[in-house]
Amino acid sequence: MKMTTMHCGVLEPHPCSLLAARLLVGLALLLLASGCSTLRGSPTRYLPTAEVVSTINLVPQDLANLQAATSEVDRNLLQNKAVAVIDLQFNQFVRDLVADRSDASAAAAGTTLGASTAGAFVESVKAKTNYALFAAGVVGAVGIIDKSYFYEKTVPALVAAMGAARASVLVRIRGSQRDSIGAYDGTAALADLEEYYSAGTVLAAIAEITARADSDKKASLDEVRALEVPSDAEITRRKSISGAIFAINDSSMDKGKKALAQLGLPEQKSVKEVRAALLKALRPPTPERIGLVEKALKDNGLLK
Amino acid sequence: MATYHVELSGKFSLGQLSKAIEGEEALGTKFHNCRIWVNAKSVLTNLAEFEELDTAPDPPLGTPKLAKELPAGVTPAWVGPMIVQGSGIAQVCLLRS
Repeated sequence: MKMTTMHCGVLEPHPCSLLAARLLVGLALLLLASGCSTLRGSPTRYLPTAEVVSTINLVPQDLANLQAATSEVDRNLLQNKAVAVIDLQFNQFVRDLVADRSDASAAAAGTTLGASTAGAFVESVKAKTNYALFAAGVVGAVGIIDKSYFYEKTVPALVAAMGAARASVLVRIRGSQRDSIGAYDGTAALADLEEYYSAGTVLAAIAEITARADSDKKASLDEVRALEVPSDAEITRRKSISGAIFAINDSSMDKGKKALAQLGLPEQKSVKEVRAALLKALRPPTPERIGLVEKALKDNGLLK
Repeated sequence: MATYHVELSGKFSLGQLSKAIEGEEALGTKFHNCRIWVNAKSVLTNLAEFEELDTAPDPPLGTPKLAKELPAGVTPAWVGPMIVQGSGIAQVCLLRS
């Protein structure tokens, strides 16, 4: 694109640059006003959640009937009805949660981009300063939005944690639905429903994240490795290598020690320690590591 | 025995997950358990725990196979929820043959 504004005087903005600036500011304002609904990333829902929930027609009496259920069929029917409503409303909640953030950031990002670009296009020092101030003002407003919505990168983690918490309760519900009414009565079924609902709240997500923080901390520190799907031939190869290591005994321990030395690993005192050190050398199972251990075993007569 | 954690992708099918577990156990380890987990990228996936072995298991572990249904009369090595091909499955059984 030819920069016609380069030929303009410093204090007089070119008509084209003024037009561009107006268009960009207009676009920014439009984004703000519309909430950028066309950029939500999902099509219109096939059926409105509220209508479906209304048609399912879960009423307080259903929950009372659930509590007093005398058969597994009635218990499961009523519980499933409530689970369906909770699921629908949870999914709507998640969509709203994500859409709120998307709308706020899309409108703000669009405005900031528009204002900054308009400022760059306009050569007038005064106009440029005004646009820069406008941009700064918008960025300041975004700060307030972020404080209100408090979830920059947090939303996906919260949604995932809610999903994990809900999955955990649903597993229990589905398992319990196979039990007799005596073992899993209506009161327990109702309590599980309440817990299932609560698991889909932000507060539950925060609790879930906090509770798992300690147990996940070690896993995080260990830089969790993602397993791959090895071929059958690779599995057979691994089994022959680990089999050779397991076969190390008192009489072949010296060979094992030599294999460790060849791999540059510290000497071990017992057979179990030699085996453990060689097996550990296989992980993470990169082709290079496996190849090196395999060679060390072969070189020392532990593997054919 | 020492244990360690690895991620089992929630994108995998049950067959792929079974192979991944078999491949890890072929390194002289034993599948211990698994749970649904949110990884560092905020993705809901599976976190599996393996036990490091220093002696060949006796009897042998057998080939691990994950299944949604538990055949009658079979005791699973593990049962729990998993993310499989992007969806949560309430009950997955680890069988050994």
